[in-house]
Order: sequence, then C-alpha cells, then structure tokens
Amino acid sequence: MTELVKIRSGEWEMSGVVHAPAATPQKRVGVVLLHENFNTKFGTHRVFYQTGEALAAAGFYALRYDNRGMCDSPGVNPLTFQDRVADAGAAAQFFKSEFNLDSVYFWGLCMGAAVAMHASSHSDSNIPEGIMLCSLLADPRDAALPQFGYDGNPSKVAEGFSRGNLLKKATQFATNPIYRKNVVRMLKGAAARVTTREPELEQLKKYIGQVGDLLRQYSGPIVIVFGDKDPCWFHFAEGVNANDKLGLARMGARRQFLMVEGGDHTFSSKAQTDEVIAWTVEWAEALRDGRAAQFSHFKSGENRGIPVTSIAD
Amino acid sequence: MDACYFGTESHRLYGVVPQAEDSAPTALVFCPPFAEEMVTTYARFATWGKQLQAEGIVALRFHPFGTGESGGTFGDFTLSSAVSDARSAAELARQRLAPARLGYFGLRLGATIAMLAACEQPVDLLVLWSPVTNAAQYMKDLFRGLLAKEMVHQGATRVRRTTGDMYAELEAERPVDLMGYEFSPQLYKEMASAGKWPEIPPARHVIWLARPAEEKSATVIVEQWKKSGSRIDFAVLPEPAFWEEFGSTFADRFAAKTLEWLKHNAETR
Repeated sequence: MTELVKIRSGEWEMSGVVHAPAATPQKRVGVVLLHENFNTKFGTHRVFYQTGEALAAAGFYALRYDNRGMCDSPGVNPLTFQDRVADAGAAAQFFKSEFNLDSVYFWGLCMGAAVAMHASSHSDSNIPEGIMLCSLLADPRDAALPQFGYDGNPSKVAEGFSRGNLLKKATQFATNPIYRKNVVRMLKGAAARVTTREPELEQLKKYIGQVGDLLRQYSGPIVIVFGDKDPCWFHFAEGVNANDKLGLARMGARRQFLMVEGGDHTFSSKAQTDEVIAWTVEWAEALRDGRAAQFSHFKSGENRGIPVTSIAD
Repeated sequence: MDACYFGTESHRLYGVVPQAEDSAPTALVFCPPFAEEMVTTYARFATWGKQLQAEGIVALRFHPFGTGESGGTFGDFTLSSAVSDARSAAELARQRLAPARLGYFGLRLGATIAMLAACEQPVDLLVLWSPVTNAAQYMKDLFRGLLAKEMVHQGATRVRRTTGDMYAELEAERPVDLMGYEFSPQLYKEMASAGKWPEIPPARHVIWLARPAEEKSATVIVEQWKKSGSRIDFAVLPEPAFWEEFGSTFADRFAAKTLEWLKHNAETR
C-alpha cells in the first residue's frame, strides 16, 4: 500500500511516496530510498518503486521522494549536491516522526548512495542506523559524465580532438572554412560551458571525492553493491579503494561487498533487479534483527582483493 | 501542484495536477513516452510543465497503468490500456481544472497514444512531438536499440539474443525482458497490428513537430490531413533525440514553437 506525502525541506516542499506494510510491525523500521542524479522517485525500470513494494511486503516502511524543485515537487531549482544532502536529512526526520519509526536506514543508488554517505555525516541523531549503497558514485571523475548534466565538457572536447589523424585535422583547419567554422563554434561552446558549469562541477567533484573517507568513518554497518560491468566499480576498486586503502576489508561484518555478476550500473535486467531487491530485504531484516546479513545463498570470493559475495552461477 | 491517485482501486493511476487559481483557459494532458524514454525525459517535462503554467497553460501529467507511480507491473502496460488511461486523465483534467480548451500532448509513443485517445473522444487541441507513426517498426527499432545498449552497458562481447529470438518468445506468449521492463505478448500483438493513422485529424487544432529524420513518414499523414480541409501546423525542426539519454538538453525549438502555437490559438479562438 502506498501513500502520497508532502515533505518540508527548508523553504521547499517535496513530493513523496511511502510504502507501508499491510499490518503494523512489532518494530517500526523505515528505509529512505535515495535516487540518482536527475531521476525520478520511481526510477529507471521502476527500481525504486519495486524496492519499496518489496520492503513493505517484508514488513518495512519505505520512503521515496523527488528533490526540491524537481519532477513532481513544486517549483524549479538548479539542484546542488548540498540541496540533495539537506533534502535527505529532512526526509529522514519527517519519516521518523510522521510514521513513528524506531529506526531509519538509508538505501541509495549512484549519486543517491553518495548523498546517503554525506547525509549520514550531517546527522546528529542516530539516523541512519545502517546504509546500503548500490553502484556508489565515489570517484570524482564519474561526476563529469554527460548524464550528470555537464554534457560536452572540455575534457570530452579535448578527447574528440585527440582522436584520429592530427595532421589531417590541422590541414582541414587551415584549408576548409566550414571545418574551421565548426571547430571555432565547438570551442566557443566548450568555453561557455566552462564558465557557466565548471564551478558547479568542481563543487560536485569535491563532494564525491569525500565519499571514500566517509565510508571509512561511518561507524554503523554498510553493505556495498556493485555490478561487475559497472565502470563505477572499476573506478572504486582501482582508484577510490585501490589496494583497500580505505581499510574496508578489515572492518569485518560492518562493511560487506556484494557483486552482481554481469550487472550494469542500474541493474537493468529483471534478474539483476530481483537479486538486488532480495539482498535489500535480507539486509534490512538482518539490521532490524540485530545480526549481520549472511547472504548465504550467494557465493563468496575475492574481487580485486576485496572479499565479496556474488550471485551464484 | 497536487500529486494524486485516480481511477479505480484495481486500476489505480497516478497524476500530477497543477493548482490553477481559477478555471484554466488551456489545459493539456501529457502522455509520456514509452518505458525508459519516460524516465529519461521525466524531469525535463516536469520542469517544462511548470514553465508552461507561468504562461497560463496547465499541463496535467499522468502515469499509464503499470508505469511510474501507478499500480500494476510493467507487464500490464498495453496500448489499449494506456489510451483508456489517457482518457481517464482527460476526465480528471475536466473535473479539476474546468478548462475552456482541453488537449492532449505527447512525445513519441505518447504522441501516438494521445492521437488514439483523441480518436475515441475528440478534444480541442492535439500537440504531437515526434509521434510514432509505425508502431511495428518502432518496436523493431526499440528491440534493436535495446540489444545494442545491453551489449554496451553489460559489456557483452557476443550477441546473446536477436530480435528474432525476442519475437519468437512473444509469439509463444512469453514476455521479454527489455533492460528491466517486462514487454508483454499483449503489447507485442497490439504494436504489431497497430493500424494506419486516421484519414482526418482527431482534433480541431493540431500541431505536429518532427525531426528531419521523421519528415518523410510524417508528411504522408500530414498531407492527407490537409486534404481533408483541416488546418495542421507542421514543422520540421533540428532537435536532438533528447529522449535517448539522461541529461539537461531539452527540445527547446519544439518547446518554443509549441508555446507560440498555444498562445496564438488562445488569441484567435
């Protein structure tokens, strides 16, 4: 069963949806689902909607919302990363008080996972009591991808220029006025983007770059899920946590890694989605019951030096 | 803005109704495009809807059954149910907004659904952005595109299935998984057998905006509609296929042309 809610975040009102269990559970636990990027609260292939439904069926409350000035929330806002963090904090406080919850957990995908880490460091209460991070955005390089709204950034333009025969390009530039006109136009466009968007992008990169340290510092339990075909996983394993420099592998049951074999960034097949949702429910149940999740029906192993469990073959 | 549920208990639909201070002179029911195209364009259309309201035009957005916040699973989504849902949303607009003029607005398959809904119950305005004029071909393109995406996103080095395999599954009454969306045999049947567009336009005022790649197929229908004596505003504008990726790029030319048309229509009415 779902209920539409309105959440106050500073001067803004946010549109939200709460999935509630059919019967009132003995322990009232809520999971705030934090979505990625410019996306909606129902998500790509309805992954957040489906996760909320599965959590409610297992006896949990789940909250999804559109950020301030985005999608179904009123107003228009050039959403910053700090806005997202403030919204997550406001949503969690609203959820706990309005639904009389005993515990609140965070679950985030991609940028939503990065927001979960930042919001947990801003909280002066015991929110959240646990975090599940899917396709975590932790490498600042990934924040410059087109889907984050910085299309055609200078590094991409430079990459475009560096491909192919440079001598041929130089000759073209000198002899072909149409080619020259296009190059000038492209450079002008890139320059305009630098001046208008770069400060915002630099801010975002700074916050994303802090996620690794926050992962180390958070004292509660964290489950981290990646698809092994997700570029963010390679950047995490080879950059952010190269040779386990964050020491996550030494934190025992407080940091668990799960790997979706063949999984992409948004787990975009029914099988992958179902697995991630099953893990989510298992994680929430274990946290609620005060035990470490075993994820026992999945195989264990190592991936780039990090102990992981993954979907069985 | 007021998010709400409407429809019946077993067929619950989700809609977002702008709060109009008075009865709205012009209201549009926005029919979203299909599957992931709905997701990639959602934030951008929501923002544009808010901007339209500042111009005195209200856009009611809804989610067809099986999509977004509405009930059901994606396997429940069919063309016929989406058309019926668009009509329910139009009824909601009439009740809540009491507009002087009501219209449908759609992008891609959403535009096709808008046209089909208008055929069943005529409206004053029809705004079509890059409508799908051949549903069977669209489905084929969709399958091919998704197979390519699947290979890229999942780093596959060989083709695991072909469009032929997908058709065979659907013919055998089994659903197909399209990047997490359950494409049902019923939807397949409806898209494969979707008929030609009507010979006369299903609304008094129609604007049809196409991209250069769509010009040829669109012109055939537009010319036929014009022969029937109807006035169709048709324009070909160089827009990107902005529904293919997440990002901040919007169809600014389509948006400006549509706003100009809506305002002009309101003045000359």
